[in-house]
Amino acid sequence: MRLHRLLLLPMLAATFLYPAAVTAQSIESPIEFHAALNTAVGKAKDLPIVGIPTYATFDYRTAMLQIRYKMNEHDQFVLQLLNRRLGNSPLQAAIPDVSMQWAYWQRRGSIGALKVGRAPMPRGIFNEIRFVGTVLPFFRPSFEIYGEGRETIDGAVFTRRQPLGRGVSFDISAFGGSNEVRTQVVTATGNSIRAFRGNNLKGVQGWLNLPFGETRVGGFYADYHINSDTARGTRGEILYSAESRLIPRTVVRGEALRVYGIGPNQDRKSYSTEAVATITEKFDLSAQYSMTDNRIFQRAPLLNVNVTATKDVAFGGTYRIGGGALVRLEHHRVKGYAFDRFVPLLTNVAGQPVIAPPSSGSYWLGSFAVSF
Amino acid sequence: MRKFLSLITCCAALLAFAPNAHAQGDFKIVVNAGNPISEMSASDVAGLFMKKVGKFPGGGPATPVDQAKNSAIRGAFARAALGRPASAVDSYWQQQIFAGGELPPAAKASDDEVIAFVKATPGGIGYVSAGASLAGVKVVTVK
Repeated sequence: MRLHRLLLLPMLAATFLYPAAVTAQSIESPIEFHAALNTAVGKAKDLPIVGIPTYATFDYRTAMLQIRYKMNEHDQFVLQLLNRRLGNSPLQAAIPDVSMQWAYWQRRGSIGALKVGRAPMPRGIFNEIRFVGTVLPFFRPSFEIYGEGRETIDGAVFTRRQPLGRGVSFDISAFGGSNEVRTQVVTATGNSIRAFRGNNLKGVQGWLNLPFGETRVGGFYADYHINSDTARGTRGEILYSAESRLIPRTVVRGEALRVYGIGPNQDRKSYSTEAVATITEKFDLSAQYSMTDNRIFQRAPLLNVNVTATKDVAFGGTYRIGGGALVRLEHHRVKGYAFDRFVPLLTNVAGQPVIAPPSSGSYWLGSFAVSF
Repeated sequence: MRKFLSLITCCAALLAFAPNAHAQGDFKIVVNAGNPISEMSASDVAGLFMKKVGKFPGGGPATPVDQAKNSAIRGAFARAALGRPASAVDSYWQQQIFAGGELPPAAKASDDEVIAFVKATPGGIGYVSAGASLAGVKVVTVK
């Protein structure tokens, strides 16, 4: 990890200091460099959440460096290094500062494109671009849908676009392999960090692209086998997504996720909806509502617990300052049990365990993002 | 929270009346003189420049070429032909790049460079100012 960090930081510095040279090179050279930085200052009120403490932290960012080598018209090799800091998040212990996020060979042919190696998992609207701050309405896509720490697939991804006529097309991605899963889970006794590999992973992501308002609707399914110290079995995920620009100067998105099976011993259902209004070419306003309902399975004689783990209402404004850079300010109001500090999920009433009232907190994030 | 919303609303109101940096100049779509195509639909043009399709409607492979970033003509082309502001087009290409998708068309610094590229490239397609010299290339009508 130390070697990665030593390599990444000077390379990032060089690409940001000399973007013109790199861009000029990219037109003629088979090697292309791209980089993205999404760095923030955050402060929470009442309770720490998603790594943001009740005092301000600047230790909050993602930085990427992508290198592409175009071997010929059909083949390329892509490497991407990622530096991710999540403030005081307990998840940070399970996520390396610097990681080789992608390393894959890609071949494009007449029937589609094949990626082999460590590649982005085609999952929902944002997974493949989740660290590119310049294309996100908030610092990160909905935490309830995307979480942190499970973005890639080690294996193969095949993607094909099939025109269906009259401006309608269908994109299908099929993948198989294994992946890393790192999640922060609310349980009856506290927050738990789970880090393991999902093996025998297989899944699909389909998108139906419609000819009006750049509208598309999609579905994702994946299942994988967990074989860790604490769990053994199969977990499944289903994600429905929709995105539309039917309303002028506005993007509306909605996603619904279900995670079930072994591992968390939960049936988790998360929802997120957001709207982004382009006020001027430089300024956007964004609103987002996300929530997660958990059904936590417990061993007898304890009863299963149904609980709304999180509700997150967010508002934000983005100003594009030019040169591929922007600044963003966002505010999140969070209610539930998924905070970085333990809040009780159960309480005793007349000797019987019952669901405790949800706790409330809020946080601000001011961020700067640039990419090229 | 209310203060934040008020601040955002005020900023939005101020910025809504900010001058638009892009001039709305005319442009022409040009292809290689040997290309049999003479007219295209607006969606065909958008599909080629966004690399959603890689071939001309007649079937030949296409190599689109863009104008310099932040140029007025690029802004005008983005709005008129691609149906979105140049910043949204830039965002689209950032998404493609970092999702492991297509790379944006190469950018040329001037009309003359675009003409030279299209003239030398059988599948070349570009756009130039309405007043540019069009010797050696063919203008395509957009339906």
